[in-house]
Amino acid sequence: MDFYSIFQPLFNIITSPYLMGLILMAIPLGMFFGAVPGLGGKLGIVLVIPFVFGMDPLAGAVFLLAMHAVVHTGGSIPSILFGVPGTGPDAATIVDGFPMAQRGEAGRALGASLGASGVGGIIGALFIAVMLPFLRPVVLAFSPAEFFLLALFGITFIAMLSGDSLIKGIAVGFLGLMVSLIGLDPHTGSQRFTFDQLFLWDGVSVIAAVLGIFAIPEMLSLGVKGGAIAEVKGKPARYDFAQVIDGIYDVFRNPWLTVRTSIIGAAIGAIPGLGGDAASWLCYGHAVQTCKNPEEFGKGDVRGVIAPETANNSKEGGSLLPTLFFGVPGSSGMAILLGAFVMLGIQPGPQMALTGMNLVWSLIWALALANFLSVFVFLAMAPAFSMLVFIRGALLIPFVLVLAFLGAYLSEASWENMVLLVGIGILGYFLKKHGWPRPPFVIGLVLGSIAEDSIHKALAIWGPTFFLRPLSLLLIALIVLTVVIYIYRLRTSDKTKGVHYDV
Amino acid sequence: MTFDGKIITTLVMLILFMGACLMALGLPTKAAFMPLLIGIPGIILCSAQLVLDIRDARSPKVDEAEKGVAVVPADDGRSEASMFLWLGVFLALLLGFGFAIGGPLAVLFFVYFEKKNNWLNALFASAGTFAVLFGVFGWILELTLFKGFIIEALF
Repeated sequence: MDFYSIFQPLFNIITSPYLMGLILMAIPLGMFFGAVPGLGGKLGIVLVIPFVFGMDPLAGAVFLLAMHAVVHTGGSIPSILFGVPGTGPDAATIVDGFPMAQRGEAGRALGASLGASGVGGIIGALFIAVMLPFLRPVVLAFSPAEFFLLALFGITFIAMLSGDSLIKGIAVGFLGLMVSLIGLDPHTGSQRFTFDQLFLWDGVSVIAAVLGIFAIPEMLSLGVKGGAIAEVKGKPARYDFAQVIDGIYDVFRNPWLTVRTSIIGAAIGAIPGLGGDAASWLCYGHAVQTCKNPEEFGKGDVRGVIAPETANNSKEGGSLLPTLFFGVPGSSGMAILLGAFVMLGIQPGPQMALTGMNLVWSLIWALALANFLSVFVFLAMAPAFSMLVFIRGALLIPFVLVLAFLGAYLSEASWENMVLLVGIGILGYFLKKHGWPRPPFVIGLVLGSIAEDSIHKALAIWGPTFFLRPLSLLLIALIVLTVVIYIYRLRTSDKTKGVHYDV
Repeated sequence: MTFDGKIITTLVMLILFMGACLMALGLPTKAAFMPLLIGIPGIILCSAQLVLDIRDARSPKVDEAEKGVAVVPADDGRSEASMFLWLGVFLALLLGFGFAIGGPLAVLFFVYFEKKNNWLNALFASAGTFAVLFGVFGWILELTLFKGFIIEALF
C-alpha cells in the first residue's frame, strides 16, 4: 500500500466542492437526527435515501457516512441540556453532563462533548487506517463456504445486539433472507415467490423494504403515541460561548484519557455485536477506574463527559471495518448503512480489499473530515439544535411518510413499490410493537443473494462437508459462542436494570 | 388464554415461513434449496416463540406499575386504526394524484385534521412539501416523479 493510494482520496475529497458540500450538508442533518430523541441515525439514513438516489456511489456513500458519523455529536445536546439521551449510546453522557448543566456549566459540558466527539471520530478513522494492512490478508483468505457462514454470523450477531430475544432476532433475519430470495432464481431461471408480478422478477427493492421496515413503523408509533417526540419539560439550560471553548480545552487537558477511550471505542466498534452502548459505558467505567478522584464522577465531572463521547464517535470508525470487508455490520446502525451502500451499487465484502480500496480510503477520510467539521457546525448551530426536542409528531409524520413513499418509488421507478412499502410497513409496525428487532431483517435482505450464491458454490466445490474447513469451523464456533453468550447474559442479567433497545 | 397481538404477530411470522416452504416445494430442486434451508429453521424458531408467547399469555399478568414501567399517557395520540387509515389515505392520494399534487394534498389534510382545523399551519406545511418535492427532487435533482393514475388519465 503506497502513500499515493492512501492520500489521493483525501486530496480528491478536499479539492471537490461537490463532495465537501455534501459533507457539510450531511453534518447538520446527522446532528439533527441525533439531537431529536427518538429519531436517531438509523431512521436518518433511511430517510435521506431518496436524496442520494441516482448519486455517484462514492458521493452517496460519503454523504451517508458523514451523516451517520456525527449522529452522536448531536445526540449529546439533549443528554446534557435536558437529561434525555438523543440516542441510546448517549445515555452514559447524562451521568456527568446533566449535573454539569444543572450547576450552570452546560456550555462547558457541551464543549467537552463536542471536542471529545471530534477527536474520538478522527482517532476512530485513523484506527481503521492502521488496521487495514493487517486485515487485508485475512479478508482475502475467505472462500464461498465462509461467506455463507458469515451471513449467518452477521444475522446472529445483529439479532443478539438489537433485541431482547435472540429467537425473534434470528427469525426476523431469516425472514429478510427469505424476502431476498424473491425474484428469478439465478440458477434455474424459475420464478420464486413472484406471484406473477413483473416488478418482483428482479427481486424486492432493498430501499422499499428498508423504508417499510423502519420509517413507516416509526411514524405509525409516533402517531399512536402522540405529543412531542421526547417527554421534555422546561427550557434548556443557558450557556455562553466562552464556556463551550473552555469545554473543548478540557479535552486537551485530559489527552491520555481522550486517546485511550478513543482507541477502546474503536476496538469495541470493530467487534460485531458489542454495540454503541457497550462502548460508551465501558469507556465511562474505564475513566472512573483509571482517573484520579473517582468520587467526583457522577456529580458533574467533565471527564465523565469526555470518556463516553470519544467512544461514541470512535466506534463508528471501528465498526466500518467488518461492515465493509466482511459485510457483517459492527452495529445496527451500520446494518442500515450497509443496505444503503448496496442500494448505491457498493457491494461490501472481501472484493473491497482487491478492487475497492480507493472507496475504502475515501470513506475513512470522509469519516475523519465529518468529525472534524462537525465541531464548527456544532458551534454555529447548537442553540437551534437544543430546541429540536420540542418538535411535535403531528408535524413530522406527514413529511416523513411522503419521503418514505418517494424513496420507495424512486428505487425502481415503480408504483408497485409504494404498495409494497405499506405492506412491509404494517408488518414492521407489529414487529416493533411486539419486540421483534428489525435490523436483522436488513442484514438478511442485503446478504441473502451472497449467501445463496456462496452456498451453491461451496457445495459444488467441496460438497456437503464444506463446513469442515478450518475457517468455516471457526465461524461456526463464533456463531455458537454468540448464542452461548446470549444465554449466559440472559441467565445472569437483572431484567429490571437491562437496557431496552427500541429497534 | 386470549389471542393477543403478540401471539398473532408470531403466528403471522410462522405462516410466512410455512407459506414460503410450501411454495418452495413446487420449485426445481436448486431453486427450492435456499428457501427450505432458511424456511425450516424459521418455522422451528417461530414455533418455539409461539410456545413462549402462549406460556406468557397463560401466566398471571403483572401490573405495569408494579414492574416499574412508567406509562406515559398520550395527550394527542391516535388509535392504530386511524394511523393505518392515514397510511391508506397517503397511498391513495399519491397513487391517484402523484407526488407533486398528492404529496402536498396528503400533508395538507393530515396537518389540518391533526392541528385542529388550523388552515394556516396546514397550508404552510403543504407548500413546504410542494417546494421540496417539486423544487428539490423535480427541479434540482431532475428526478422523474410519479404523476399519478388520475392525473395521467385526465391529461
